[in-house]
Amino acid sequence: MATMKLEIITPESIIYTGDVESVIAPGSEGELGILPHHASLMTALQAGDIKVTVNGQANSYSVGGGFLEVKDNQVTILADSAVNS
Amino acid sequence: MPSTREIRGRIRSVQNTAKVTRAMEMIAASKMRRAQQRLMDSRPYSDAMLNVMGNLASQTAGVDEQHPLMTKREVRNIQVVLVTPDRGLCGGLNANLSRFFLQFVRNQSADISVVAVGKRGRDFSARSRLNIKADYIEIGDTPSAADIADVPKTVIESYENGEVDEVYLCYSQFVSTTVQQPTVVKILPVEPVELDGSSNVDYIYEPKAVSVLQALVPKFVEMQIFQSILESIGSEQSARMVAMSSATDSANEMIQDLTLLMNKVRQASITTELLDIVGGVAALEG
Repeated sequence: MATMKLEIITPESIIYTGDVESVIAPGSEGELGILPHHASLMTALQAGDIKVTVNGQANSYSVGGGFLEVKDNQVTILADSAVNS
Repeated sequence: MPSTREIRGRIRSVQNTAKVTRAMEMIAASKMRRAQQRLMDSRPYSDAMLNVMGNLASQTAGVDEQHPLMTKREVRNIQVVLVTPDRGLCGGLNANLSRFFLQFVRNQSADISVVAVGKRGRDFSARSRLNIKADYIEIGDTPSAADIADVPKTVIESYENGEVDEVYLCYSQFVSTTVQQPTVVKILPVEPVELDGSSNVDYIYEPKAVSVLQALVPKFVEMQIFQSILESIGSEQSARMVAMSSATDSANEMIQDLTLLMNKVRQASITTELLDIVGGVAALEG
């Protein structure tokens, strides 16, 4: 299955980095799902859960607001704070 | 000449000092490693943010409604966020930063207010009769971004309500273990970062480029202040480690000199006693 690179970064550390199959994030205008080869995108995030699928397994991270950038099949999430939940 | 007893007392006291400085050196060394690690950990975030900022700024360059934190105004009042350690005993670090800061303040024609992060800076500003707008002390050796969130909040507030027209950040930049560079940078109004063309991407913005920028600019200020505090902590610990290591060395040298002196004094007193005895015997025999 096609994958893309995901990075979840907070001011203190890198929370997650790796190849994933899909990301669902709480955008400022509502939830948005991102699949591999998404067009370049930039949005603000509200506090909420980021759902990540890796090898068919779902993982979830709680973030307290931030930004999401998609570029060249790479998703970068700049979160104010984040924990694996 | 001091007596051997006096010298022995001094040796003991210097030995105790050496023990203390040695302990402080080791503590500073381990804290320095932590601080350096945190500095490294925060770099990806700030790099990514700089990138995003640069992209956004070029996208929104033509837009009329500028972000309030990016609008330039005539400069009448300046605020300086002075980031210093809480404690001393770290060599010339504080003195260098204070001198640098004062120099900067003297070169400004506008009115200056200070937001002091750290006791040293607060006390120094108070001594220099500067107007202290707020102070944040005892933030600890490992503050999180949330711990210091009040600092950017104060600064942004005073900028937004027109109290100040420019904000600078003054701190010791961590260059290496032996080099810390006093630095001052302008953080408000936020100036768009120039990017080389390669990283310029056509994004889809959700909802609009301007509103993403609205949310990003305060974060950018926060990030810069957080980064400077991490730099300052790294500088503090490494400066202290170096200072304490040289203090331990001088103490050991002093112990050697004193031991030599003590031996000489003891030798001298033995010689005098011997002379006395020999003189006494000679007198009896004569």
